[in-house]
Amino acid sequence: MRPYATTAERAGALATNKVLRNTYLLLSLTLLFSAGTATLAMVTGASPMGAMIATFGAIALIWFVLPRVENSAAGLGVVFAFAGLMGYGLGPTLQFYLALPGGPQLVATALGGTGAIFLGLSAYATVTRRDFSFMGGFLFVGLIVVLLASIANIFLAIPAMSLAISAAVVLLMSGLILFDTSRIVNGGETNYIRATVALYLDIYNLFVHLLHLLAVLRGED
Amino acid sequence: MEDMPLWLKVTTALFLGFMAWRLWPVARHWSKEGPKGSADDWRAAIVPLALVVLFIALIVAWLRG
Repeated sequence: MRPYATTAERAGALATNKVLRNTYLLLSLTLLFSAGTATLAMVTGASPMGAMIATFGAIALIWFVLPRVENSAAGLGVVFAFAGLMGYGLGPTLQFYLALPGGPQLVATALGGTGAIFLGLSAYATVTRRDFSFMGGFLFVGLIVVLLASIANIFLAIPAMSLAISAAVVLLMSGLILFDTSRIVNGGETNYIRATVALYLDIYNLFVHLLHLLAVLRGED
Repeated sequence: MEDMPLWLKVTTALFLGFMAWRLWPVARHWSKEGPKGSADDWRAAIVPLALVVLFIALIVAWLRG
């Protein structure tokens, strides 16, 4: 084994560390911004319809606008607009769970649980530097299956199916945290704006479905 | 979900269907061209995911008191 790294290896490692650092910084700021807009939605009593439009708008932003600006400073504005709309869209859902008996404890537990799962999995992928990109096919096919099951359950409205979907999403998002973090660590993702959006969506979906899962399993949903 | 108006159910279903359609090429790319994991790779992924399941089970037990 060589006792020193080549200049190219050092440059690569520095670039990876910079992407990781910028991603975590932007992720923290966008999550805080989302918390602010979610609070705004709750204080102003945003309607479920308004929340749905905000969520659809956020997804449209990352599909149609972000790919055009992800390599420029304008990309930062789009990411914050996306995070703000996602937070606003979450407002009525949070209000629903907060109104349940023991609701604040439930929401705080889901929030803490999401934070612990994200930090644990992200630290695992960063410290081991393992490449989890082999999970890509499994995770994305799993997401499509979950989306199709969700469409079916909109019309079937089977509570057990809704619970199974949330359990599957929690596992898929946990896998995606490993996948997305390892792609940053191993140089597969070099754009911190794209990396932030990917991790943001992992955390957002993990939180929403963990909240649903905890509410149902403790018998209050 | 039961009390959602039909048009809203259809709109949401169309939106989710569009998401699945957008994800399809991504899933196909990673399935066909993504790296294949060894048994050791899968074990390294399954262990932390099993710990997540255990962690959630503990939270549920704590919430139930």
